Amino acid sequence: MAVRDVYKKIEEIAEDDGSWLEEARYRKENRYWLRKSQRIAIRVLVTLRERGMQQKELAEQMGVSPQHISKIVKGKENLTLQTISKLEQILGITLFQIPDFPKRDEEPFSGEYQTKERVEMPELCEPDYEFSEETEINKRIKQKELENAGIAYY
Amino acid sequence: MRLVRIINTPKPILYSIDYGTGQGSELKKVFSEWNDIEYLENFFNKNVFDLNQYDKNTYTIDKAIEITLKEANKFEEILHHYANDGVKDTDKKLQSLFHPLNNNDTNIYSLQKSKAKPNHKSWLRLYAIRIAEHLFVISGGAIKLTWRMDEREHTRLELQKMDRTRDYLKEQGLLDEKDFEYIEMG
Repeated sequence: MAVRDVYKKIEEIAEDDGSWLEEARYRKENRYWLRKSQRIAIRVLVTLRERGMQQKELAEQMGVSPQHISKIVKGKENLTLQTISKLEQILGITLFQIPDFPKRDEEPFSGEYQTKERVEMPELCEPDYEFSEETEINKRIKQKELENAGIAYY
Repeated sequence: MRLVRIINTPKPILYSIDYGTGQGSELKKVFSEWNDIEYLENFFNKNVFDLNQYDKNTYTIDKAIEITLKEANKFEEILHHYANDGVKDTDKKLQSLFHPLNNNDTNIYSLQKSKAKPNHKSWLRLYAIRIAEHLFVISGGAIKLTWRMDEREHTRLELQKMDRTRDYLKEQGLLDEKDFEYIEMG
């Protein structure tokens, strides 16, 4: 039986459920770090599959629960530096890198780092991990990061 | 099975079915899956043959996941914008989002199977039943890598969900009189 005002009829039947809107808002507001978490998750999952390694094994080696690994590989976890470092050490991959400062003979990106301390304590500015080779993408990211003095993720 | 509101201000235009699976509305479930790296990695590995055939391009799994995330975000942004700000010009906006499921279907009618995608090349689909002008109920969504929906189990399931949603809406009497007369006339 067709109705005259279908818009009114559907409002009578429908129920409120703001859960999608709530999640969409969360994803929008946290997009920047979620994006990084997702990229790390992709790298971890691809590495696990390549090596035929189960998530359970990774959990055991990291000393965390399988539920924690499950959250990480979904790309929804706000990872700590400690967790990222453990993943890197166990899987032997680079997930996070702080770019090196520019060399002294290069054009400085700002005056901010041209301090005496910077020159005297270069070890504080060294990255934890070095690339085995200087790939094109690494070069590009480093250049970009030198401009922004930010943090690079792979 | 229940019907939930997605966008109803300033006027009712978009709803979703909740099949009672515990995962919430289909809209919530679909966007949750499209943002879940583990789900996407499993999906593309399972459908790697279709992925390699898609659009005559060779996508790696990680590239396919990246594309999906980007397009899902774009898709959700559009709906989020409508849900927050309301659709002021429904004629242009919602009409441009949903189209008849069958590409050869030039008629628009009540309880018609419909689809929406973020761009013409995208493999992401939201499926819906059109109730009336600018009034749709989302029945599900999928990553469609094949030409036809009946070629793969997960898209076949979406066809079944559309049938189920259509039957439910019919049972609830959600048939637009104006469109119904149009069907009667053939």
